[in-house]
Amino acid sequence: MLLSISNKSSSIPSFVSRLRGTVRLGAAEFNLKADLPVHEGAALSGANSSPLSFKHAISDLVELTDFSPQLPGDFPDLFFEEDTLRITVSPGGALLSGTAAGEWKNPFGVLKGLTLRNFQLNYSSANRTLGLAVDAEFGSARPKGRLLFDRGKLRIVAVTLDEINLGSILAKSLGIVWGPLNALILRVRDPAEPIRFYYCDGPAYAGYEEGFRVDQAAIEIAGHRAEVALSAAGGTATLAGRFLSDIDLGFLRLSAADDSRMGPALSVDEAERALRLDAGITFLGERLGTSTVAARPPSANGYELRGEIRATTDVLVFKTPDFIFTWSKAKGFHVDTWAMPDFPFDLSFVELLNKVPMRSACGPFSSEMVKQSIHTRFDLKARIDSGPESALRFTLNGRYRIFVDQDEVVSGQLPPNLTLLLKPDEFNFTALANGIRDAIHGSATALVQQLVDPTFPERSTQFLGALLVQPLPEEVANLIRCRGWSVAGPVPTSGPDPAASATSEREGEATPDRYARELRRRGMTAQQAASLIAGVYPALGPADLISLLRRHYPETVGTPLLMLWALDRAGVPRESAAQAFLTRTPDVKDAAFSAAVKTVDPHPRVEQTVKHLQRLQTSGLQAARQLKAAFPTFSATQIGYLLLVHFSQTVPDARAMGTALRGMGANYRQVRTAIYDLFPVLSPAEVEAVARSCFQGGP
Amino acid sequence: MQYNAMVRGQIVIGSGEEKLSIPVSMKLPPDQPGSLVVDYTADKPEDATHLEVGKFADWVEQNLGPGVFDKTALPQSAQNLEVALKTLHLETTGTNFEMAVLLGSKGADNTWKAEWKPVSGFPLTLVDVTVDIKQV
Repeated sequence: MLLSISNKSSSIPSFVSRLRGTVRLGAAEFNLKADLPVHEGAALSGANSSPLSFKHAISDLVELTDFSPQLPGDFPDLFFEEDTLRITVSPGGALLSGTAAGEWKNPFGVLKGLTLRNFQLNYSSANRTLGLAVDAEFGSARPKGRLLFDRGKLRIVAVTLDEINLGSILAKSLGIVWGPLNALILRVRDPAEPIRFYYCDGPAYAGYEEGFRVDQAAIEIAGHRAEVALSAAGGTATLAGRFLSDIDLGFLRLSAADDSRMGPALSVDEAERALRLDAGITFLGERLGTSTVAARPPSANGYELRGEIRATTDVLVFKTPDFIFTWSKAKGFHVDTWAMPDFPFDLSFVELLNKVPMRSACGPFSSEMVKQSIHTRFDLKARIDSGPESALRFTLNGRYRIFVDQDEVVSGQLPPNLTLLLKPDEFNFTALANGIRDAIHGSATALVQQLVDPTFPERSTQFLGALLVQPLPEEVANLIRCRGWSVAGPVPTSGPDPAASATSEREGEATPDRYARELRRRGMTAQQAASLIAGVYPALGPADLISLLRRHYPETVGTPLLMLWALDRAGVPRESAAQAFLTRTPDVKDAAFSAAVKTVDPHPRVEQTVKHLQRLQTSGLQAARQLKAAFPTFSATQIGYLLLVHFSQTVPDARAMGTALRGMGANYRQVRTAIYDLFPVLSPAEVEAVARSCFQGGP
Repeated sequence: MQYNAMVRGQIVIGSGEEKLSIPVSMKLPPDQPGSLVVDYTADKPEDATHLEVGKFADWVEQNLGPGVFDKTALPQSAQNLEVALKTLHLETTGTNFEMAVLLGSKGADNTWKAEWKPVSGFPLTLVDVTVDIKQV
């Protein structure tokens, strides 16, 4: 019979159809169903009807594809609860998806600190790669992760992160501390490729390198990005990578050591606890070879970059530049000392001599009066700091050396802290050389003024004697005399001319007396004249010198201190000076003599401190404070003496000394006493006036 | 003496040479007046006659209506299977119709099984693959 379906109500019957079947996996049945009809192909879908062991499910799954399942020994027993693993069969193929609860801590025993949860199986017949997505926990991070199988063997556990603190990984997983490097933040190198933190068991697979690794990461050093990877093996960690481009600070560029188009390569120097950049160095536009630069993340006080620039050849007038630099965003660029020896810059001494201020109108020096073969060299030490508007500030200190016919005739300290700013459009060695010349030139007037300062006649004598054409014409001698400067040698009427001396001796007057009288006539004190006299008449003994000074400079050797000071300036050994003084001054008061000896011949520790402060180029004011702090029992006179003798550049006169003493805490009476003791040519009224002036203008 | 009367016949699914002939019988008088009921369950549907799934779909379209069971709705690999009737229930009032057919094919051992490997080359096998059609 034929089947014909109709109903009595004559309405059209409707039907539903359904396709179903059963899959068995890991001792569990999956009842798959699909309602029909569908327009785009039926998809049967169903879940496990009973709890299912994760291992059994995985085993069956890989066995379906003829592989043997291999899970590491520490892999946990996980279960898919009933109805949590779903199989879908569609025109596109078969898909298994589901989540097993449970957790896996420290996967493989390698990824310490990492905990995996919610193992999400997602297996497709289309690519047949067995993998699991997982939720992960690493410290406070909650990354996503995955487990990858290679033909049934679990090979890779990986989690992905947007950023992670390097120190966190080092401490949690590797038990390593890299000090300042711990603060480095690893960030994604590419937004489409998050950081991978993984372990690959066995050789490289599916784009993962063997072993423990953190890759696809970038760090930032000095505002520049570098791609890095962290790996570990045998208890040793390695961080290596390369900057994407040169680190260009404008004045300093760190590039690849091999001149490749990428930036410098980096690795970790565990001893330094810093990154080590193998870089080509370009400073002020000049490639100065390669160097190793240490790099660290920013910190409160530390550097971000530190390296040594060591050129193997001269750059213009700069002898093989060699110095250590540091840089940080907060503190900028810094070089403590860049030694620039033998920097050539010939000064125009005629012009400079004529610029020295004069008390009265004197004629000018001319070029014919000065020797022609005079050269000047400077041994400089430059300190470099970041200046305003991205400029570099160079602070120069050092010495000058004056040569005549290639013989060094005079040397001395430059005025301290000459400064020049090198602007960004001047970041080249030519501009730097010009800037240094300008800075020296700007200080040259003061330098020459210092050289001809009559307070230090021996220096003036040495300088002018070497500079000026000899023998001095009367015209030149008059120019010098007019200015009140000192010059040795056969200056008519102003020096111990041997011929004149012979005449004088015949006339019954000893030549030293004549010379001493001449020096006094020039306005010198005993302390100023003593060294000149001793230099010209070295055979004079201490007793004769004491007599000579008393005859011609009674006002400035009137105290034991002043006499011992003068003898010290004359180079008389201190014990001899004291003995001679006592012999010739039996009625000296013990206290006054003792105080004088302590002042002029201080303890070696005092001299050491003074030398230390001199090396630091300390100002007179600072020196006074530090000497007082180191030797609190010292009187104002003792410290004033040390300032005048050893810090004469910044303490050239009574007022400067008084001001420095006041700055160290001396009161008015103490300052006045010190001025009185050390400046005997001043009248009492002048001493009072100078002392008062030191206390005007605030505390 | 009590007598029972039976109506016997065959329900034919398909047409021509490819058809399933299903022997059915109905009891007279019916339990409910005016309504004859057919209930059929195959003992071994695997061993019975099979019909191409396409032919079955044609029969369903002609006799039950279009769209009830469309061959093209099946995955490609299922479109080459055969059907074997497993159960049939119908009532002559036309208000209740249900049938279940197995989908399967002959394997390498030449025995017909209600199994389907939906993905070529991928050894996932569905067993007891069944199409249910029900009047609602």
